[in-house]
Amino acid sequence: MKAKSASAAGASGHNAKQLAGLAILAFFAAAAFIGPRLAPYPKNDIDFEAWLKPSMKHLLGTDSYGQDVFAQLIYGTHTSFLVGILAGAITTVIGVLVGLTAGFYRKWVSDALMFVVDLLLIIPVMALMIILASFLPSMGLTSIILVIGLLSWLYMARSIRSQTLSERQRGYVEAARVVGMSNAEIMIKEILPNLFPIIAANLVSVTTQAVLAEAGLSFLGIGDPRSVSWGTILALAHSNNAIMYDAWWWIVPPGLAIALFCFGFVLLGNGTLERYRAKRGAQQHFS
Amino acid sequence: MSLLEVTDLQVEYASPRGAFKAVDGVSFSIERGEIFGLAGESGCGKSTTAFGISRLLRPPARLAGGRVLFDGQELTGMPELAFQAFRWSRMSVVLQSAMNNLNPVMRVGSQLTDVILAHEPGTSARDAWSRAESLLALVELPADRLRSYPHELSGGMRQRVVIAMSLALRPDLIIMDEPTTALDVVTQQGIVRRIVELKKELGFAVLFITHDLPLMLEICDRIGIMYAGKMAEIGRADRLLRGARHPYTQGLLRAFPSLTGPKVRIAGIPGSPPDLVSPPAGCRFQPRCAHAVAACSAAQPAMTAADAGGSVACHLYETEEAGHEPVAASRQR
Amino acid sequence: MKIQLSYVIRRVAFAIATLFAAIVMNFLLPRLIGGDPAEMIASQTALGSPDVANALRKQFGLDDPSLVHQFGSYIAQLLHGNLGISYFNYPVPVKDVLWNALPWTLGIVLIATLLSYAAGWFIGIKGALKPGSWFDHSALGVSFFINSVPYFWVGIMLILIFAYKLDWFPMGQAIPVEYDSLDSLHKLGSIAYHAVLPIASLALASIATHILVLRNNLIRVLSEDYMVLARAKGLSARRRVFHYGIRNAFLPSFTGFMLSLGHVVGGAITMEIVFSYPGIGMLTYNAILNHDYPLIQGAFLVIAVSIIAVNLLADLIYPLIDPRVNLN
Repeated sequence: MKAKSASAAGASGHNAKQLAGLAILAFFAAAAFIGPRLAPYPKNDIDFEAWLKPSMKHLLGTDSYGQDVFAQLIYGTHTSFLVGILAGAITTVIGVLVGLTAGFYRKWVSDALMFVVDLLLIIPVMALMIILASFLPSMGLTSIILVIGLLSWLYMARSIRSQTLSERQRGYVEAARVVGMSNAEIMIKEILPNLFPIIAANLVSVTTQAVLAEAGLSFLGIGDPRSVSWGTILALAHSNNAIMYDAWWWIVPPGLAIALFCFGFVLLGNGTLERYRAKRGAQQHFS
Repeated sequence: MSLLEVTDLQVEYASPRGAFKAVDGVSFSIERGEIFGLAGESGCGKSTTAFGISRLLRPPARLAGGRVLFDGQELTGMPELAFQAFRWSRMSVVLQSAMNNLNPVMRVGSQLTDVILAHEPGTSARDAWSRAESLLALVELPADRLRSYPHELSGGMRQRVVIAMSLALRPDLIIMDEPTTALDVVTQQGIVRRIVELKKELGFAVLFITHDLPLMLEICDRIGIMYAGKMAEIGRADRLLRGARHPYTQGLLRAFPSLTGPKVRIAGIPGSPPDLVSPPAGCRFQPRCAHAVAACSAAQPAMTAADAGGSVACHLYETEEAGHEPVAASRQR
Repeated sequence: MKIQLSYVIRRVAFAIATLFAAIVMNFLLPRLIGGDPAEMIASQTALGSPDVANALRKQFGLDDPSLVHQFGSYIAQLLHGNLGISYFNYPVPVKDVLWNALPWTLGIVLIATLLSYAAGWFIGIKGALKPGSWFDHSALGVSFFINSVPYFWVGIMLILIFAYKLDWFPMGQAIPVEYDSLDSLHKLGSIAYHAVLPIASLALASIATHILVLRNNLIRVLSEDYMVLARAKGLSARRRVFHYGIRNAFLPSFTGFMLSLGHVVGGAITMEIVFSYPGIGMLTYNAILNHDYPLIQGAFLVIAVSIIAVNLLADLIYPLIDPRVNLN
């Protein structure tokens, strides 16, 4: 199946998966940044009757407070989008830095970094996030992004490190050293580009994890109480017994929004990887 | 009757840029007890040819045509189950030494015995084990190595194990694909010497694939030179050394320093092999060939018989009479 | 044997070091937050009185000005198995509160973890043996979907469908209201009945990763050179798949499996909340909301100890199943 989609891709430069992923993400970006202006009703507008079923007036019905669920969903996109992108970016930067350094420098630098990573890995991250979030004086969007970003890089650092370890055995690293490149230059100019596929794969998963972590924290009632996110919508639905009112329109859409958003990243990531492999693999394949 | 007769073998690859023939109409034969070498640059299709004969091709590669006769038996049409029983008992393979040919989590002994038990199900475990011990002895490894895991062995020892494995059922033909390439010279020498000795003792034939031309000239009886999926020239090793016919073979030979002959400039062949998705019209070597004539870009040269049992696919020889060597002069430049 | 002993010693030393770090972190956390937790607790609650504040201060050892002394007495308390008094469940000791919650969590999370690994590996292997088949495609599609939704949403959806719509299972809690009046067989039955949906949710929510990991590992292994040689040797498909393929594909998953087992105790916070299930996760969550520091610390310690212990176990088992692990 991969060979087929890749062969369709080769010439055009992008493949179907990448394009589909980009389209989904573009859709959510539009919803996040333009959506609020086009949303049918103002944020947290409680002017409607509660528990209304979906209709033309309220595409996804209303919740127990009389808020339009569809409008809330659009406002929620903004939060989830920002958290996913920014926390994912923080995670990636730290993960690559730590992993690359720990993989490149042997001996004590590597040992020390990996000890810290192994140490942090035993801590239940979700619980730590809850604690940090509940202890921080005010929990705005920034704190959420920082908490998630700063606590999620461990697995990424590990996988980047092991890839770096195998890359530094290759001839090109030795060659670069012979030419007189400094360690930093070798790491950034020589090794980093070769880590691209593994970074891309990790980027997808950490971004997805960040969106899910935000949803989880919001669900637990941690976060900026004034902001709306897909997680807070679900949290409200759960705490207001939406199930008892059979208000599926309040429960299903936020979950599907999260799923579709994450799926966009997965498609983009997999598509990029396939293209990368098709490009690189073609020459090596039949020697 | 030859032991192995390959006729017009074709292997096709599906690639992102379209299908191409990695092996395009290759024919040759191997006699009993003979070491036949297959040489050429990497990507010329020599390994793919071996995989095609032993039916070990993996997607995106597939056998697209041709005929393989083994001891008069047609292999290409043989049902998969029958072929599984045939392979290894009469024709085994030794894969590239650079590869992880051994299962990392199983002891060497079980990997040797499982091939015996798979083909001779009645064998008792003890018999299989003692046979495995004598197989190790054949490749000059101590019997206690049967209890080792692959990672506990050196690269050379691992490859000896793989060779022992290929001898397990006393086949008539062993296909060896770059069996010593990744090893250091001393280890390589030892293993190659042992292969030649074993060949004399046990009488099997070898299809020996390598890009190491000097090694090949040293141990092979006959050699086939492949270029861009096609056979360029086949000839006796000593004959090739004295005067190769195909300009590509000549280039290859020039690319290696001769230890005994007069000093020559080490010159590679300018240019690089063609893109097989859209190969050049006519002879595939023509864009890089110093002797190309008009006919070369017009039509593909056919394999024509030359003296001393050799044959060559080159337009320069089609018009000339066999024995005349128009290109040979340029070698002495 | 000598080498193995040094390996064991190194792993144990690492476990002790991590345990110590966890204890230090646990000790420092409430103190780093700033302010006097005892004051904060005492003032925040109905218990708020100078007496309670003083008692709490004593309990935390906060009456001692030296942080080192405080840490010393904290360790001494721990060694005596004293985790302090939960202020929210005053005057029940933290140990007892945790002890009551532990079986619930262990029950559902352990079963769910084992189930999801077993099913995930099975599906992953089946898919990898026929990549591109409809089975593989649908397993992949469902896995990607599950991986893209929050854990707790899976639980909510299962409640909506199987508890509310179909009314097959209860919507939450671990036991029915009339639990105390039941005989022991029915008690057990009612517990199992209540545990079905939480277990199913947890297993379903985590199965995707196991499917993907094992499938990808196996596909990678199947393309290894030794698999080609195994086929060339004429080994039966069965032997190739099990002795050459799955065994190698399974090894990288083993560490992840043990890690999941370690996280059993603390790993189901959101799911326990969705199902109002009275386990450690629910307890931790409530303790955090109530600023019940002794309980938070206690829960964290239990979680950390279980993770460290299982990790140590995994480190000690691994060399036995993977001969390549260098014991030096």
